Amino acid sequence: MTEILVFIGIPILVLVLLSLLGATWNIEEDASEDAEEGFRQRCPSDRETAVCIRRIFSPQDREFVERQGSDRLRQIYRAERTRVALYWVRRTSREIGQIMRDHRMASRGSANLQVGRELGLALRWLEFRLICGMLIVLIRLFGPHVLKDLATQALEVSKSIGRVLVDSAPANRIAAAGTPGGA
Amino acid sequence: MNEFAKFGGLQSAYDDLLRRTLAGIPSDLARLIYLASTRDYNSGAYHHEGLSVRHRPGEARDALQTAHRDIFYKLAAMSLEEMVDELELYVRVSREQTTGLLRAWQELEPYRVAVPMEVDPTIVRLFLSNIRLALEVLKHRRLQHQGLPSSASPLPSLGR
Repeated sequence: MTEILVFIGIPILVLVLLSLLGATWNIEEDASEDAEEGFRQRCPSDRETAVCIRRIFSPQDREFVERQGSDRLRQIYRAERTRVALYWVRRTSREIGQIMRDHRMASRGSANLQVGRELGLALRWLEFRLICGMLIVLIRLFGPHVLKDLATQALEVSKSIGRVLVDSAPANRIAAAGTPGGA
Repeated sequence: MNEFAKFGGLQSAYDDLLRRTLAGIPSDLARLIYLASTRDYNSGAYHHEGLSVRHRPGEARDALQTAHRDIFYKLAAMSLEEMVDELELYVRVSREQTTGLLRAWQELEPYRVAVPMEVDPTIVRLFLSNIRLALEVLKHRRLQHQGLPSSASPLPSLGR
């Protein structure tokens, strides 16, 4: 029991700390058009994603299966949902990983790189990876239906990473064009 | 409101498709399968004779594609219970023998070709998984109705 508490408690504590840091971290505008393009191409729309997450991690379907009173159905349901949930976590993790790699490559050539902003992004990335890791372990242990909140948090963090990269592109273009009063 | 609401021609073709054709089909699952059948297997292009006569071919094609995608997302967002009801209605309306239809769907998985192109792969997996589960629920209910335990049938292949 103590091992389980430590196993789950420590990552949660780290997550809370990262969330607090992420909330107060000043992420300002900078970076590349390439990263923006990459994010727009790879991320599905909010509506589609939200629908998908709600359904995969919803306890409603599990309750319906429970009502059928069949162990066999329960077993099939668990296997099906676990597979879809793991697919989503791995795919999201891979996509955001690719976006971060593209961003790193683009940032190397950026003239107005801001360390604070990059650190903030790195923290979000760390938080996201941690949540994905926890999701994979917990989905396998308990099934996806108890993890709706954690999955929603993973989605939010991935969106926030994407938002930072998308929002930063215009600033980069302005900097490159030379704004009035700018460099 | 669909994505073409702002374009008159496409919206008109879309509304026409809903009003004249899709409204006469009794379930969303049947509508999905109907719309998938208007798509060419080789090119992926949609074609509807009547719609192409009344509207520009491009508008008719886009209206079919949009309707297909809209109905797919609607079905994918359904709860498992709603999906079971949809499938039950589809079986009833098809006038096929329930046992035969369930068996064919489980063996051949014809619903796979009903998935539109360029949709989120996670949503595709969720939809296919829900259909498989709904088929199992219906099969379980039938076996219960006949007084047989559902464990009498083997577990489906879940790796597909």
